[in-house]
Amino acid sequence: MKLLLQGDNYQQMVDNQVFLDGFIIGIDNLSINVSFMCAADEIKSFLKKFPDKEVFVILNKNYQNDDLMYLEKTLLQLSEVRVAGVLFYDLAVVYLNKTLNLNLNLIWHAEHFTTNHFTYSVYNNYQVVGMVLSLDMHFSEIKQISEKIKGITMLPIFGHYPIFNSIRRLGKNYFSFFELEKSLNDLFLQVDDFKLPIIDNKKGTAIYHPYLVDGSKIIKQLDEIDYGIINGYQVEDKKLMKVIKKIFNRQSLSGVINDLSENIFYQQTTYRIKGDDL
Amino acid sequence: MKKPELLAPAGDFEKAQWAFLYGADAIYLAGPSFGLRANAPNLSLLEIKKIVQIAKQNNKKVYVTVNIVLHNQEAEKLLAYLKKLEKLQIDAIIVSDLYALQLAKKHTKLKVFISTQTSIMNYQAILFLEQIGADRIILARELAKDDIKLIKEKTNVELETFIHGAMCASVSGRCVLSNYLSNRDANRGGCSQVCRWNFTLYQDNRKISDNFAFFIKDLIMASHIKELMNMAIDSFKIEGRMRSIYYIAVVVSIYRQIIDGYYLNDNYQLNKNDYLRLQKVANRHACSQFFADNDNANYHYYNNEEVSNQDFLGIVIGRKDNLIYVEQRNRFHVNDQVSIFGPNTKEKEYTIYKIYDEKGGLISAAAHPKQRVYLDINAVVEKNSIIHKLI
Repeated sequence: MKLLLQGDNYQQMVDNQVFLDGFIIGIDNLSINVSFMCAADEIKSFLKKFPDKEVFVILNKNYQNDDLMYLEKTLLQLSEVRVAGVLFYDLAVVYLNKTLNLNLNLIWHAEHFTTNHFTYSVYNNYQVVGMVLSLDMHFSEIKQISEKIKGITMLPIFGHYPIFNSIRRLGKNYFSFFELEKSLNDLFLQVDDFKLPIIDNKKGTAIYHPYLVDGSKIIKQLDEIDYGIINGYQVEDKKLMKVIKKIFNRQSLSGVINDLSENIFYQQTTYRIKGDDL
Repeated sequence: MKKPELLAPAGDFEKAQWAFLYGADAIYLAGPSFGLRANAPNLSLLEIKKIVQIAKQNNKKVYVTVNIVLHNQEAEKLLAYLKKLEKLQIDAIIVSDLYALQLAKKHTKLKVFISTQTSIMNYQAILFLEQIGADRIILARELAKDDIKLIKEKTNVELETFIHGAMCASVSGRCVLSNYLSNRDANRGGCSQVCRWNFTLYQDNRKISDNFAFFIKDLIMASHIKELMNMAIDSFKIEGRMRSIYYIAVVVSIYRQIIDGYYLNDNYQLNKNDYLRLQKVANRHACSQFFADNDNANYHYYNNEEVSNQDFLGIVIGRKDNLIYVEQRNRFHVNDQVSIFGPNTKEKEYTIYKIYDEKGGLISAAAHPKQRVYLDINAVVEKNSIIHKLI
């Protein structure tokens, strides 16, 4: 398994590059839940700074009509430079890649939909070459899918995981209604013993899993997965360095950082296919 | 002006019948598996067969949701289920997963609609889905009027848009709060509506509120129906498979009137009382959400402002001589003034002069749930009419 960093900032990438195979970066106005972003025409100079790294671009917003022109321009620019691939959510990306014959390496990243290999095969017919496996399934399902996929596989193995996205400004609207003069920084919801971070900005609202995903103990069993994604979002730079070094050495993260959980890989929601009566 | 399809929710067999009775052109429902409202009673395959027969006799349509996000275990069993649905001669399936689309297109003759769960918000995504065989797209609920208009201009496939009912706080398909806070899979039918909980909100470690909430108002598009009809949107969808038959009767009948009204007369005026009735029927406030305005605090209702609606008083189940035979749904009394409307009759006001129990004894009130009584209201009303409070 190679390691990719979706960094919180540029310095995280510079400081940790020796342990990493590449990076995932966002594009202004086309990505959400990503801290480090640049404009499409800055990608070339970014790539020059890391000539031996694989750089993937994440385009994971739901696009509205107004976004499409800029999306098209961005994809054209990406096709002209050496990006390793594009992690996408919206089908407009697939459409444009196909229509404009861009031959980008598209990686399906609809984070709560990437839960089986059958659907990946459908996308594979339309020039999608990989998939970021969802964390909304049990470890056994992740393993099964990773063994069956013919393509690039990725898995989030560390960091904050978004479990809610809205284009609404839930914090801002609440404060506005009750005339509370509060900033939108450092908000979290307390639910029983859990603290769920909320990010409310001009792109909408995201709520994150209460714990940092900790895949350090399972990655040895998932080595057939091509890339593990380390998300440095809202993780202190010094702690992240320790985390990355541990993961690189395939060591446990216990004691390195607080609020870790590997339970997300073992969570199984209940679902049963019922019989019919015909 | 094209007349759109009025599409109503059917959470069970009874609701399916009521939706057709009150004027829906089509209904959508879930069968025993693969639907996103696993907590609704839903319909067995036998019930689907029966409702399809009723639909065909009345020139109406039945769509079945197969819209969960598939895990491997479900994907392996899906084709067998689709073939069963095809045998029942339903008119279309509604899917979120492209594997379901591909299977249906390759192995059956079923029409396939793409669920709002895929949160399609732009015309290029739709053009792609057209190319791979989708027959209809159910648009995301975050679209403004101009977005919908442009999508219609740029695409060729049928378009369906919500006109009434509950809204998600999240972009559809991008919320798994239920998975992690109640172990119920939001994308496989188990959504526990975490977005309607109250939370404690902190900033750093300081508590800001014990009652932080998202609470999104319902959608009501009654005053924008003409605009949507002018755009030639193919289907107008009412949300609400978990709602009551009262909700279905009121909402379907009012939108039926509005659509027919504009279709026949460009200058049709929305009845103010109908609009108020639509606002009241679901216990929570409603607004036109993103259609006419950007996101703002007015889309929410805070302080738990849901008000229990006890307007629904009874259903007319028959007649005896000049008395109407009624099954009670909320308490009502002699001398109450009520409003009654039916599948083919408009709202009219009446006074309840006398109430008789089933043995013919005079009583002063129908006080017990589902109590059956006879009413003297000095009028003839049709069976399956709804009795409710004056607006």
